[in-house]
Parts: sequence; structure tokens; C-alpha cells
Amino acid sequence: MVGRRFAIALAFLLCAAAAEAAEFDRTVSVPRGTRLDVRLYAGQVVVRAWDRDAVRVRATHFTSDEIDLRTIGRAIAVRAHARRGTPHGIDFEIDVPAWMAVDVAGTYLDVAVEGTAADVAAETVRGDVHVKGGAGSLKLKAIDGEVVLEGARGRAELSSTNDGIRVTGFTGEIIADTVNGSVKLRAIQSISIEVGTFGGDISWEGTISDDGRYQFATHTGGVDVSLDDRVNATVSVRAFEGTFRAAFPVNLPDEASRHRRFSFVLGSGAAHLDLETFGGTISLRPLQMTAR
Amino acid sequence: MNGEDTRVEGGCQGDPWADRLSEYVDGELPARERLAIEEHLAVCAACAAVAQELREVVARAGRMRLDSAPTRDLWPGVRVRLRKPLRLAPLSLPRAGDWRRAAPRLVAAAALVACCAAVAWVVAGRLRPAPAAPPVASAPGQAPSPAGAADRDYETTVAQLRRVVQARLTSDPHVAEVLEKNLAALDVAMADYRDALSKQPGDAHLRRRLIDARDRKLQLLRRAATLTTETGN
Repeated sequence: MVGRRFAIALAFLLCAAAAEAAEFDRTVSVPRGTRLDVRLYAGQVVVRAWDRDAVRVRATHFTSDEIDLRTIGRAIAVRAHARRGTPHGIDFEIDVPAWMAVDVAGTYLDVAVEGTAADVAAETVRGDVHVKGGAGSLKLKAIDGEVVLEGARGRAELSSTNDGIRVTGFTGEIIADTVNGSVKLRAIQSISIEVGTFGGDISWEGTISDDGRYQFATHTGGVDVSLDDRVNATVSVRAFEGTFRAAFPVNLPDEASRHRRFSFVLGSGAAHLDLETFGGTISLRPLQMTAR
Repeated sequence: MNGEDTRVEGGCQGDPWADRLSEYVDGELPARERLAIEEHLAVCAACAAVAQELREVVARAGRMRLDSAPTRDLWPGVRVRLRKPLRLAPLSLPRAGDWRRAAPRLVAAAALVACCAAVAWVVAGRLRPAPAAPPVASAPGQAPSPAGAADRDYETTVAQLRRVVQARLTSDPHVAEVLEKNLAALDVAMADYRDALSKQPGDAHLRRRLIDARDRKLQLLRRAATLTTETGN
């Protein structure tokens, strides 16, 4: 009796395994100016640039899920939903023209965008956002996931509540904020940087432009700034209950030790560098020390 | 295909208007869609309740003042987030690709489980019921409540949002935990700023930082409340 039931269950599972999965693969031509708009519940979306004026969408999904690819106005919209029951995670691979603006949002979703040269917007609740390339407006947000931006230019608005933010090789303006994550900025060319976190550290390696303003503020974390020895900046430090360290000679005013709030000038003092921590450590070091 | 329906489908299956409620409350829907959603709200108690809650929160946030003028208006940031509602549900999400790749192993595992279950059933007579899902993490100690009617209004708004979020995140304890952890970090920061302000009451920068932290907390809660609007919990 038990053996028969087991055989039936096994046969059912085998049939289910064969029947459940389906492939989605569709390519549509797009005129210049069209944008990609993806809204998904869960899974992974990888968007890559290619050299065709067309969008190709590939996915493996359960037959109980339905994928919808359509043109709405000047957007190619990608959606998926379950015909019944709990929605599944679906992994998408999408090829787009490099000029195409990309907008991806989801709940349990990992997002990767590679090689585009246009606006990118990505938002997820649980999942990472990785963007390599992109130009123009770059809005990347996650609640519980890392936000990574590489090799882009334009204006970046980056937010991750519970995880870190990393930016490498970026040219343009950056606004980055997180609650419990750290923010790492490397090889940045910018005249406007505003970074805030409450529980994380902030680290910066990049060029300080004479006409730039750079603001780094954390509550319990540290601020680690590596500076070129030719830097021209007025440095404002607020350490509240924290500490300040510099790996090169800095003339500190007398009130510095009492109030832990002071400023000093490097070079001509042209740029503005605001460093703040409530309870952590602010460290200044020469760029050479970190460029090993 | 769903005609012109392009919305994200998810945790609230079969309710095409669920993710448009925040736009409706914000008055951002075209007249045609607004009329359609109003017809829907007349017959859908769940959506009507959510819409009402959103209206109350919006109204409260609009009335709210802090103990000194904020450096920027809170509402636009919240409003932007309301435009992209997302959904939360349990993270038991198999993927078809995973299934296909893992099917032989899964079948073998299922067979093993079936055998074990059968043996256990024979031996014990019945299987022990699965443990209940863990409760949502309770809120950590609140930061000291600042004085003043405006602050009380802020705390009331925060408490209201907390209730909404906690009620709706029962299906995802992980996100609830993450939210509480981050709210706690903000509470710690606010307590530190208040303490520092008590020693240096004239420090405008500290005051601005306190307002920023409060702003951030409100935004986080509003975002979480909106994200969970369509769970149907």
C-alpha cells in the first residue's frame, strides 16, 4: 500500500518536473528614444547593452506564471504575474540598445544593468542593485541590499537602508544615503558629493576639485578620506564625541581639542570638504598611502 | 494577456487597482482611471481600507510640524516614494530555471522525504505540526519623546505608521526585523542629538541633524507602509 502511494507520488513529481518550466524569448524592434520599464515581484533581472535597436527578453518561468512584453507609449514594458497562487521568482535576461533608458523595480529582486549609456533607475526591497555604465540620471535604491555603481557619469542618487553603497569610476554629482550601511567612493571625479549614513562608515578616494563641495556625515561610523597632496580645500571637521586623526601635518586651532569642531585650510582652500561624525573617527590620509 | 493592464502582479492577486491606490490618494490619476478606481473602492473593502489609511497618513504628514523649521519639506520625498508601490510576501519563491536544473535531485529528495514521512507516520501514528511562523519583531525602546504639540504630532504619526507596517509585515519577518533594526539606529541617533542639544541648545547644526534623522525615520516608515500596502495581509 505504502509502496503504491510512493510510486504514484514519484510519478506525479516527475510529471510536474517535466511540465512546470517554460521558456520565454522574444525580440522587438524599438525606435530611438524608447525606454525599458520592468516591474517584477521577485527574481533577477540582468540588462545588457547590445548593438541592435531592439529589445530581447529571455526568461525561464513556471507555466503558471505569465510574462507580458508590450509597448506602452514610448516604453517597452515587461511584467509577470502568477495566474494563481503565490508568484514565483523569475530570472530575466534582457538585451537593450545602449542608448535606452532603463527602469527596473521589484520587491525580491536582484538587478544588474551593464553597458548602457543612458538613464538608469532601479529600486528593490530585498536584493542588490549593480549598475556598470549608465549616463545621465542614475537613481538606484534598495532597502535590504547593496547598491553598486561602476563606470558611470551623470547625477547619481543612491540609497540603501540596510546595506552598503559602493561607487567606483564615476564622473558627476553623487547623493548617497543609507541608515546602517557603509559608503565607499573610489576614483570619483566630481564637484558635488553629499554622503550620509547613521550606522556605517564612509570612505573616499578621489580628486578634490577646486570648485567642489564634498560632504561626508555619519553618526556612529568613521569617515576615512584619502587626499591628493596637491589638494586645495577648506576642511570643516565636526567630531562631537568622536576623534580626528590626520596622517600629515595639519595646523589645528586651539579650540579644536575642546569642541572637536574646527576647520583648517589645505593649499589655497578653494574646495569645501565637510567631515562629520558623532561618535566615530575622522581620518585624513595621503592618497598614496591607500593606492597600493 | 490583460488588455491594457500593465501593472505588476504579485501578492494581491486579482486586484488590479491595489498598486494604484497611492497615486489615487495623491490625486495623480487621470480622470478616467480615478472614476474607475472609485467604482472599485465602492465594492472592495480591503482597498477602501488601505486608501483610507493612506489618506489619514497623508493628511497627518501634511499637518505635521517639527520643533523647528525643517531644512526641506518632508512631503515631496515621501510622495515620490508613494508613486512606486511594491509588494511584500513570504520569500518562498522557487524559480523555474532552478527547478529545471535541480529537478532530479529534488525528486530524489522528495522521495526520501516521502519515505521518511511514511515511516514516521507508521511509527508515530501522526506527524507533529509545523511550528508557527515567528512573530514580527517588536519595536525597540522609543527615543525620548520631545516636548511640544508638534512633536507629539510627529510621534503620533510615527506610531500610526509603525502599526500599519507591523500589521502588514507579518508575512515577512525578515524585512520587519531589518526595518526595526534601522529604526532603532535612527532612534539612537536622535537620542544622541537631543542629549547633545541639551548641552549645546544653540547649536543649529545639531538641531538640523536631529530634524534630518526624524525626517529619515518618517521617510523609512512611509516607504515601508507603502511597500506593504498591496500585500493583502
